[in-house]
Amino acid sequence: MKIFKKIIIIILLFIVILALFFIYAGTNKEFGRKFLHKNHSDQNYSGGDLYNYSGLNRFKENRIRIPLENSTICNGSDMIIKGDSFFNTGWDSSPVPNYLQKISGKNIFYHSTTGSEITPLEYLEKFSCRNGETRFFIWETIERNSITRVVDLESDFSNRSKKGTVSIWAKIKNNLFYQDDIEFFIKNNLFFRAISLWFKNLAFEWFGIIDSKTPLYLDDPNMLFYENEINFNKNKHKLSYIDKIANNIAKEADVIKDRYNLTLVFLIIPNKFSIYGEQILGEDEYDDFIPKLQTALELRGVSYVDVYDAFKNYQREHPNELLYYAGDTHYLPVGKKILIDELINAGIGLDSKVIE
Amino acid sequence: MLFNSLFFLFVFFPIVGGFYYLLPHKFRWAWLLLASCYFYMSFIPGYILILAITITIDYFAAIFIGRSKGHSKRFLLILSILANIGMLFIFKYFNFFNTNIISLAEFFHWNYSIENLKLILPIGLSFHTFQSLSYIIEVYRGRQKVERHFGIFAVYVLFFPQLVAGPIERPQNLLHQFYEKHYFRLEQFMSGMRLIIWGLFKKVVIADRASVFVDQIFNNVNDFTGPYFALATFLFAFQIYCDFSGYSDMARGIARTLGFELMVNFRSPYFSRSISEFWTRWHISLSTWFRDYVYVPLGGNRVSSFRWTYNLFIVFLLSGIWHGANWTYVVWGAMNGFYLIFSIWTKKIRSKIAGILKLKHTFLEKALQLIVTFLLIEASWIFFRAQSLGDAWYILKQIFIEGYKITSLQPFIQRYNYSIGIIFAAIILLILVDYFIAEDKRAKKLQKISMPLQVFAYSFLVFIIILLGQFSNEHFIYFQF
Repeated sequence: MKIFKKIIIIILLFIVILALFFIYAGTNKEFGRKFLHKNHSDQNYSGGDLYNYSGLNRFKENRIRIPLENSTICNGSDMIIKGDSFFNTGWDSSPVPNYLQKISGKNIFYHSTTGSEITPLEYLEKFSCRNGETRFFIWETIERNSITRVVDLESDFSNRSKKGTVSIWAKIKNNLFYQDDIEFFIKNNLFFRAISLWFKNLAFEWFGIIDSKTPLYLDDPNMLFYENEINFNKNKHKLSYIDKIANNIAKEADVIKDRYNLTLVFLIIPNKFSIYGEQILGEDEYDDFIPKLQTALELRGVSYVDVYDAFKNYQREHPNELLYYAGDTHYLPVGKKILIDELINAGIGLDSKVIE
Repeated sequence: MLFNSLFFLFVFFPIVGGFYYLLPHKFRWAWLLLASCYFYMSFIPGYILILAITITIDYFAAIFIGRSKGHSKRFLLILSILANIGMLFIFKYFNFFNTNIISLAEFFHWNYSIENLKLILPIGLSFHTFQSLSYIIEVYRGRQKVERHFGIFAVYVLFFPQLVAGPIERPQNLLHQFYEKHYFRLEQFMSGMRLIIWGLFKKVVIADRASVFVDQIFNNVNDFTGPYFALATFLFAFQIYCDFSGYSDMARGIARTLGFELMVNFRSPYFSRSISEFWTRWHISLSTWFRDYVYVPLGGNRVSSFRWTYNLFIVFLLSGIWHGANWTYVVWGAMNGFYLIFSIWTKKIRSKIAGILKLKHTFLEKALQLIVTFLLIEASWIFFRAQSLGDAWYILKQIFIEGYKITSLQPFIQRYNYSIGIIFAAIILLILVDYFIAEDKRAKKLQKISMPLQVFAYSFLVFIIILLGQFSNEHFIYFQF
């Protein structure tokens, strides 16, 4: 019994030391990264965002990231782009803004704002863009986040300014009580992540249990779906609400035109679930949120690029080819190519002559 | 910070526990106070000020109450109660009453312009307010010595294992434990760990897994019909039980690893054979709080039968509104009050009928009592969980009148067959364990199981928790109360 007690005490002391290690590694990212699982320690590699949630090997795809080259000067550019991760990341192909710049020979301003949800107006303020010759401003958003991003615009347009600075109290609060980094490190360190992946695959094989962030999947084609996209699509959007969103976008377009002489072009990337969700048994039909919003924008004179229609057409014509990664919310290079073709054909100065 | 978060399990708890035993006894209260403040501040840091105010008021109120006599003593008690309840009212009930007044004003075309407050309800406010109140009342009654050590009193209110969701402790049980020197005892530690593991199992395997279906159905009532509501209500009964009793078990387990003993909060409630028995097994720390500080002062059962009925009903109404500022909780409380009163009124008749049918003391009678009690409690859970009275009424109508004709559960079960299977298997395990601990005799048998078998059983439980647990950091339902 004494030996048993000693063993337990040694284990407990080890756990205390491990806890201190977790704090240190979670708060010192340079140090912590050395102990992270490959998916998180190597920033140029990913098995897919949905794969990271589910941990299921059957949805793992090894991909290489081509990094984004941010522009530095907004003034004098031929075109300004604001986008989300669909434009920032270059999985197996260049990020969209870099690719567009390369093939069109145009001076395109683009800067990643990942991690901070800012409105187009705030984006232009942030990068000190000035009123110049008539140019286009492409505003890209993924469908699942489109509403929250547009609802943000409801504040007074004439008085809207840069977001406030962080107070000292908020800084102390964040440093002292912010546990997400430590929690992330515990979850994704080499040892815990390996155990967790083993359990996740076992739970899926034995009981069909899957992570709540990826509650639905397809077997043929092999595909995972993101909880946020499923919830977005299940929430059938009323026309009156779509009108309200379109009004907000139109107001933003007016203010941008007025202050910066920019013509806003709205670009909404369809949720993976909007394209493939109907193939899951028992799932409702897509409520045509994007087509309805685009019609509402047209009525208000706002330009848009219709990627949804292009994706649906491609899917119909090439039923065996996928547009999105199996274990990721983002599109494959073929999806990106379709989007770029649509941009070229949109008559916003990226015409084929220039490209040639 | 949740008990089921990785930060709590792998960082906060080991560090707090480890250093607690390494520190000399005289510093331990300060360490626990510091840890408890950090624990609370990890939700909304600023709200620690609310607790600081409550603690300061009650600390001095108790000292003055201890020194006073007669009317001034009573006056101080009332003042302290008003301060505590006032805080609770502002944060929890103001908007509820104000919204109802606004609706009334609109109906009668009155001119009423007070707007709702934009406040977030501090986590566990009702719990620590009631715990602090119990101290003041016990001091007033002369059953508890005035605590002169401010730090010890603060840690009594703030003690992190039971700070945000109870059990609501009494000063006689908890305060003296902060003065006692706790040595690390392996058996006590292991017993605490067993409680934590069992609580975690209830929370992440049953409650959080059940919540996936329950939330989907109760939050979208228009999309579902009778059979779904019946299933969701059944699952909710176990979700809320496992969520809350799971938290209580973990709280008791964490406290026990540090050498503290907290009161038992649940004792196999679904094995109750009457409503009155249910309330001696469910949320015991709250039921006994209302018994000691509301029901007994109102006269308890030593009054006329009309007054007794009134006392019972008031206690259940208050219990309902304690749970939340919503009419659904009021109706839930009223339903339970009505059940109890009705069972008292019909006790003789029921006994006679059982005699005539020769059912008395038979297994069938016991089984019937158990099933009827469970079904009655189930019906009241509909009001507890529904988002509005309209929703609750719709659900009841669907279950009892319309639903079964229209649809079946097949498509739902088809999609979630594994998950539902897991929940039902886990519920059967829960019922088995609850059956053993429902009676002391059986519970003792369970304790006699050999150490290697216990280690195996709990290791298996840990395996099941990791394999089948739903780890999405779901909040505990009772945090909101």
